[in-house]
This record gives sequence, C-alpha cells and structure tokens, in this order.
Amino acid sequence: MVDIPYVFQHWFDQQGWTILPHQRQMVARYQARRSTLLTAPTGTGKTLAGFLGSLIDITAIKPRGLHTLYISPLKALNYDIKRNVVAVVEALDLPVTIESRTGDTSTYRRQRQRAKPPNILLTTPESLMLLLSYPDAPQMFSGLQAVVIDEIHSVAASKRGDLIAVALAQIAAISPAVRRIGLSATVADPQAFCDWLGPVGQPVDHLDSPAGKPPQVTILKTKNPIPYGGFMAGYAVPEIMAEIARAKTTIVFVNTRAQAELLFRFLWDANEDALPIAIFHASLTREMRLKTITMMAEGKLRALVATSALELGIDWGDVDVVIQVGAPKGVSRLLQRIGRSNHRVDVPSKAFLVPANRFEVLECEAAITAIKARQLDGDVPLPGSQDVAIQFILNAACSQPVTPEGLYDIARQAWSYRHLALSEFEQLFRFVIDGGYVLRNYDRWHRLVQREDGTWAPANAAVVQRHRQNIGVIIEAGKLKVRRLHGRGGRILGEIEEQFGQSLRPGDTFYFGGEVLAFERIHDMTLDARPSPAKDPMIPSYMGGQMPLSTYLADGVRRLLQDDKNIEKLPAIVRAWLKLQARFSSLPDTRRLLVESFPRGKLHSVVLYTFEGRRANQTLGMLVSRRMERLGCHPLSFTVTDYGLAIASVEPVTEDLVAELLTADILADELEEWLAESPMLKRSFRRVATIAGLVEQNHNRAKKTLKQVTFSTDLIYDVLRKYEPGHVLLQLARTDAERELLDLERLKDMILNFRNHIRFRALPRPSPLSLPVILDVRTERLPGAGLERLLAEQGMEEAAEAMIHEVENALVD
Amino acid sequence: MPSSIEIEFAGHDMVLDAGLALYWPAEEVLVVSDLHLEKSTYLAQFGSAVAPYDTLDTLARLDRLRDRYRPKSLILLGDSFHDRAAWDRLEPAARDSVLAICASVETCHLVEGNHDLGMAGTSGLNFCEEVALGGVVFRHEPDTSGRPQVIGHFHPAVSTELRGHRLRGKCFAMNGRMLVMPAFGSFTGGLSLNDSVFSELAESDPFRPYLVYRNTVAAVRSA
Repeated sequence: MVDIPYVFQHWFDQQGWTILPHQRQMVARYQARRSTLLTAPTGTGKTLAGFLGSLIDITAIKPRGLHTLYISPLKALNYDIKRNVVAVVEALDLPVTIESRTGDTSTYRRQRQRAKPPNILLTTPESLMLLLSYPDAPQMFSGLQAVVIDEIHSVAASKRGDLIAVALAQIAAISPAVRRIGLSATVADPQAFCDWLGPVGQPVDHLDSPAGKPPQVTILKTKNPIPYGGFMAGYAVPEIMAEIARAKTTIVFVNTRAQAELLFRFLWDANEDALPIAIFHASLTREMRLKTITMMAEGKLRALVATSALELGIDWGDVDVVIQVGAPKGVSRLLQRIGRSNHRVDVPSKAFLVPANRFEVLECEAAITAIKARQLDGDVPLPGSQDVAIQFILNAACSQPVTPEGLYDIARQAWSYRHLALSEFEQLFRFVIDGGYVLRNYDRWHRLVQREDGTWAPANAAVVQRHRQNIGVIIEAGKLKVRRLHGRGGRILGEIEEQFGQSLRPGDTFYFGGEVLAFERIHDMTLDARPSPAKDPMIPSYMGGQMPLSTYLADGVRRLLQDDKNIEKLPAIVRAWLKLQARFSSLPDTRRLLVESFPRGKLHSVVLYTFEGRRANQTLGMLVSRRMERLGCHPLSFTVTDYGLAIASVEPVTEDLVAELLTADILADELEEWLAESPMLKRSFRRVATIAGLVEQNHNRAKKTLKQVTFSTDLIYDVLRKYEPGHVLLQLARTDAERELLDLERLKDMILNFRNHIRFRALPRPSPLSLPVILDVRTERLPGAGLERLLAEQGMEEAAEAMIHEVENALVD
Repeated sequence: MPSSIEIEFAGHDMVLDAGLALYWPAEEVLVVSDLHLEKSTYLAQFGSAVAPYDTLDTLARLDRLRDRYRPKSLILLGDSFHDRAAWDRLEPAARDSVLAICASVETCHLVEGNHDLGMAGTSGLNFCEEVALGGVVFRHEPDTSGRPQVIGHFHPAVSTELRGHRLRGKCFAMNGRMLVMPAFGSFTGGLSLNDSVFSELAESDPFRPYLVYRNTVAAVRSA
C-alpha cells in the first residue's frame, strides 16, 4: 500500500498534475524499505520520484540529522536539483532542510554541515569520500535512510563509479538498512546496474517507466556538400542558423571544446539578425558558465552551443530543438542529448543531426536506425579498479584506525570488488603503508603506522591533509589560466591545456571563449593573450572532450555499408563517394579486411578499415606500427578514427609485407614490447599514480616552485620500471591500460578472423574512403627510432644549411 | 650510446651530450647540473609514496658519463642535493658512491645552488660559489657581470615540431653569453623555454635550444 499524505496529494492536484504511476511505486518501495533502479525518460518527474519517499518520511519523523544523500556526477546537477526540490519543500512548507556540498562549498559552510547536517545533502562522489574521511563519519551517517544516485548510467561504469561503490560499502557498514535508489533515463543493460547498485548478492529491483513518444531525429538537409574529412561542419552553418531562427530556443551540441569554439564563431559570422547565441564548455570560468545558464533559464538566449558539460539532467522546459553537430558517437548519449528538448511526455522531442564528414553520415544513419528500433548502447560496470581501492584504504584510515581484514570485508561487499582477493588487498594495503618498495628501507616515511592494538592509523597530520586534498579520480591535464590582456590589466577567461599553451609561439592566434586571441607569453602558469583582429586563427584547435564511438554504432556502420539497399538510401553525395571508392579501390565487406597503401607527401600511408572502434584501433595502431618498425618501414605516426587506422611511414607497406602485418603472434611479441615503453602505459601510470597518491593532483600549481611544476610521473615510471618492475603500481597501470585503453579481446577476435583474409590495394594516391581517416587531426605520435632518426636528420639539415651559408658567404667575399 | 654534438660557446669548442652533460675537451672538464639527490625521500616526508630510486639512478648515469669521458675535473653545477638534509638521508652505499665519483677525478667542484646552500662544511665535498675556467664562469644562477657563463637552476625544456610530430624534452639553451644546462636528476622536470623567465634571462639575444630526446641531442627550433 502506498501512503501519500494529503498535503502532498493536494499539492499535486493544485499544480494540475497527477502523481505518475512510477512516482507512486517509488514511494511504496521506499516505505517497504526496498532499493530500486528507476529508469524513466527525461521529463517524467524522475527526480521527484527519487525524492518523494524521503520527503514524506522526513515530514513524518522529523529526523535531527542526515536522512537522505543525493549523489550526482555533476556539480551543476546539484544546484539544479536543489532548485527543484527546494521549490517543492517551500511550496508545501515542509520541515526539511536541504543543502549541497561540492568542491565549491565554502569552508565555513562545510564545517557547519558536519556539525549540523541537513536532512538532505546533495553531493558528488568526491565530496562524499571526503565526508567519510572525517573521524565523525560514523555519527554523521548513522541515521541515514536513503542514498539517491542520479544519472547512474554515466557514472557507474567509471572510476568515479568505483568511488561510489566503496563509499556505499562503507556507509552500509555504518547503517546497513539504507535504501539505494538509482536514477537514469537510459540504460542499455539494467540488470548490470541493478547488480552494481545492491550489495553483493542482493541486486536491487528494476522499475521501468514506459517511454514517452519516440523522438523525431533526422539528418539536417544542407545546400553545401558534406566534406570528406574534418570535424567542424562549417558547411551546414546556413541551415543550422535557419533552424535556430525558426525555433524558440535551440541547443547545439558538439563533441569537443574546439568544435564548440569554432562553430560558435561560424554561427556569429552568419548571425545577421544578431540573435542571442552563447557558448558553454568546461574550459570557461565558472562565473561565465553560471551567467550563461542563468540567461538560458530566463529565456534570454535563442541558442546555446554546448559540449557534454551541459549534457546531464539540467532541465529547461523551453528548449524545442536540439541540433547535434558531429557524429553522435553513441545511441544512449544521443538520446540523452535529444532529451534536452521539449520536456513533455506527450510531445516528441525534435532533433537534427549534422554529420561533419561523410563517414559520419553513415554513423548518423546507424544511430537513427537504432533509435527507431529502441536499441540502446552504453558501458556496463567493470570490475572495480584497485587504485580506487588504495584511495579507499587511506580514506577509511583517516576516519578511524583500520585493519586490512576489516577493510577487506567492507570492500568486497561492493559488487565491483566482489572478486578482489585478500592477498591482492593486502598488497594494496602495504602500498598505502610505505609505498611497498622492496629495495630500500623506507620505514622512516610510513604513511600509516601500527598502533598497540594492531590497527593502523595515519602517521601524521600531513598525511591526512595531503590525502584529503587529493581525493578523487578525475585526473586533469595540466592547465594554464588564459588571461585576456586589456591595456595593462587583464581578465581570466578560463583554462587551457598546458600542452597546447606550450606549443604556441608569440603572435600565434587561436580561438577562446568565442574570440580570436593572439598569444603573448606564459607567466606563472598563466597564458597571456590579446584580442586579435585576425579573422581566422592560425592554430585551429586545442584538445579536450573527445569521446569514443560505441562499439554498437561502429557495428551499425559496418552493417550499413554491407548492404547495397542501405547504400541506395543514403544522400546522393555520400552514395557517389562510396561508388567512387568502389571503382578506385574497394568497399569494405564483412569477410575481408580492406587495407590500402598509398604515397602521401614525402611519406607513405597504410590504412586499415577495421570498424572496431577508436579504442581497439588505437591499440592496433601501436602494434602494427611496431611490426612495421621491425619490417623496416619506419612508421612515424598514426591516426585512428572509429572506423579505421592510418599509419604514416618513411617506407611503404607493400603487397609482400602486408601479410606480415597481422599475424597472431603480434598480440604476444609486439604487445609485450610495446606495452613496456608505450606512452599509453605511461598515461595509465599517471592516472593510477595520481589516484593512489604517489604524486599530487595539479592543485594550486601556480603556488608550486618552478622545479616541481613539471615533475612528471613519466620520470617515476621510467625509474620504477628499471629498478622494481614488479611494483604494484606498475601492475595496476598495466591492468588499467588493458581495461581502459586496449580492448584486447575485441582485437584478438578481429586478428584471428582477418589475418588470412586481407584485401590489399596499392594505390597511386589516397582513396576516397581514406580521406576522413587520414585527415583526422588527432594524431598519435610514435616514440622510437623513426623519430630519433628524423631528429638527427633535422640537426644534420641545419648543420648542412649553415655550412652552405658559410660557402655562400665565402663566395661573396 | 647517447649521441653528442659539438658546439662553440664563448669561442671554445664544447660537446653537448644527450646524457644531459656538457664536456669541454680543452679543459677536460665534465659538467652536469641540478642532480636533486634524495628528492624522493624529501617528498616522502610529506606523505608521498614516490619511488625511492632517484638517487641510485642519477648516480648510475653520472658514473657512466664519467666512464665515457674520463674527465680531469667534474663540475656539479648546483642543486646537487634536493635539500640541506639530503646528505643525512642518503643510504650509506649511495653516499659512498658520491664520494667515489668525486674521488675519481682530480678535482670535483660542487657549485652551491639554492637547494643545497649551506652544505659547504660537509666532509669530502668540495663546495664553492663558482668555478672560472678559460674565461668562462660556471655558476648555479646567473650573475650580471656579463662574463660568458654556464649555469643551471632553470631546468630548460623545449617542444618542437618535426614534420608534424611534436617532441618535448629537456634541453640545453644557449645564446652568445649564456649556456643553460638541462637538469640531470632522474626526478627533475623541465620548464618550457616559452616561459617568460627565459625571455627575461636572454634579453635581446634569444636562446637556441638543443633538445634531448631519448638518446639523441639536436639543435631544434622552438615551437
């Protein structure tokens, strides 16, 4: 039986709303102390469904402290929920206190929240871990009744999900009866998330609210032809502008920050009626982002160009059109974005797709097909990562003295860590104690010390403080503040990747915050730049925000290509492109792997059309280029897309070499060899080492001294590999790389399938199909002899030039 | 085997070694800078569990360089130790190794740096403020005398483009008056030559970088 008090029922009636069946069921399930995964489309009162049981309960029992914890992956979502739920609480005049706590919350407020917690606390995984690190955590969470995890699809299958998993286990150790409520609009495999959300062996129940009307999704028709390569979709600007003018409010989603900047610029250049259009991405300052959000909420904007920073949860009822520029990359992700428009159950959402190149047309078609068939994709939770377990150990020790056995019993109650062996856990525990190094006596620098009763506690306050400052699993690239100079002063516009900043020379121009800036200098971790009159910046883009294609969509594209009937349905220009490819080279098919080789500039390119997704292609690129090195081709770099892989080399891959490229032993010899010194393993090591507390996150970099600034984990990696190759962090980096980056299983299948079925085409020039692959700007450079040789040659060239000048000068005299 | 290239500085022929060292054949002197020994144990005091193998590795590389060049004298151009207490934290074997390297040459100069200032009394170590040889002065930080000088302290690093490929690494930075050494220590980072520190230091005569990438050293254009 559902018990909904009169005051709530009355309020719904007054608003002219009915309590929806899934909201009613959620209250009933709350009252029966049941945990639930609720999946419901955006705009169907999902959030309120997650909170309603708590609101009724708090009103009835008037608890003194913390009653319900809400965890969301985004801070922005916290503010948004606070607004919405607070509105209900105020309208009903309920005796419920609600506060949010994120990295942005003031110290004063945080201290007060611990002394006198609100009934409902809205927080992020990182802030929750921080709360659990305080000695008073057991008191604070002892009266907890419910934990609500929002947007569970976006967080569970990640290290932040692992963080939530261990936090839930720790909370369960304090109050076992807490209800766990997961919320999501789109989940491909609900059972996996039900398993993940419950304690081990007790999956939560799944409650699915029926979907509203299916969205209307079409490819935007344009006058200009769709380009072969590139990712900017500048060709479609007139039509995008026309849709913005037609609609009340439009969100234009793009995939990267660089795309956001450029498209925003394009739109303004075409914005003859000066419609209010704004830009939103994670590099802009918080103030600028808040300002934009407020303007959007107040209906002052006609369009917003946004990255995924805007993707989750935030509800603006007035958005009537969503335009996705660039490939959708995943069906669930696309649905999530489309769900931003028209939050009403009875009206279908409306969306346009704008492919940036011809390959993306195929991807857009595959996505539309999948949406019609109601097939979702998306990651499912993986086994929990051990670097997060390391953080969990130190975090728990900061709160109360611990033992390895005691913590192990808690950790393995988390579904993600159910297979973790005690011996593995003890190894992680040893790392927390003293770094676990074998070679040298390091005992003066223990992080944990053993007390007389056998439990372990932090060695000193510095250890605790350092840990608290470094909680979290989001590893940020080094950032420089961008200061827009004006006269003698200047204003901070946001942040930019350090690597990009360091590649600039004085006078170089680039887009930031929607304008062209000219680089002047880097000073104290700040990049100074002046507004430039230049119209087109010299440096086209900066990094940030790339996302991989879901394997499901990649398969969809392959299927599409394999059927003439499907090809006939494509836009004429794409059809013509594919036919040209068929004449000039071949179209990929299901039985054979198409490999092309052709000269390009002074170099040669070989392209493999694998359709295995970016991640697998990345790995394959590393392995094949290694093999090419062995075969004497001197590979220099490769480009991966979701569809294929292009490797540039000094010497060409020929017919007789191609069979050597893909043999089964490549997964043994080349893999081992490559992993040993791969930049990817170094990247993994950087993540693992940071999460495990080996090095600090880049907080407050400007305050550090010059020498510490670029003390990178690469240096530690090289030294550790040399002196202690079996060290636990190296093992973790390896596991991490296999899990996050390599997609080895998929690759193995592909190689076994295709090794004797290669269709090789040696071509005089790049094929039509290869253009989107080789024109992709995201190039992975290769370490190794090829580059060193070029570098040495470069030195020789300079020396030769100098000598020729000397000769010339001598002749003049 | 690391490569090396010959350069001319202040009218003298010198060798830049990809092992992050400078060799001056006429004077038979080998120069390395910013070893920052025991940086790992320094960080460990503040709760970092960074691998404690930096000193071992740094000294092993220095030993190989000494073997290769067999110099008469050795100059450690400052910040040889990460902090004043580093000497006390050295493992006995590492301490012996430092002393053995110093004893294996006729003269071993330890130029004082800002990190190891105040260690001058340490027995067996020959600390000094600067070394002057053949009209060139070797200091940790530059002075304003206008004398040609080889300095450390700044940990220069550079990025360059090579046929569309980006390389980044430690570098030697040279102009008419000054040669800035790369940091030698295994756990030392680099500061981009683009940083305003270097333009202020170079004044009107910009630094030319010599990039060290793995085992190769070469003149490059800064990008």
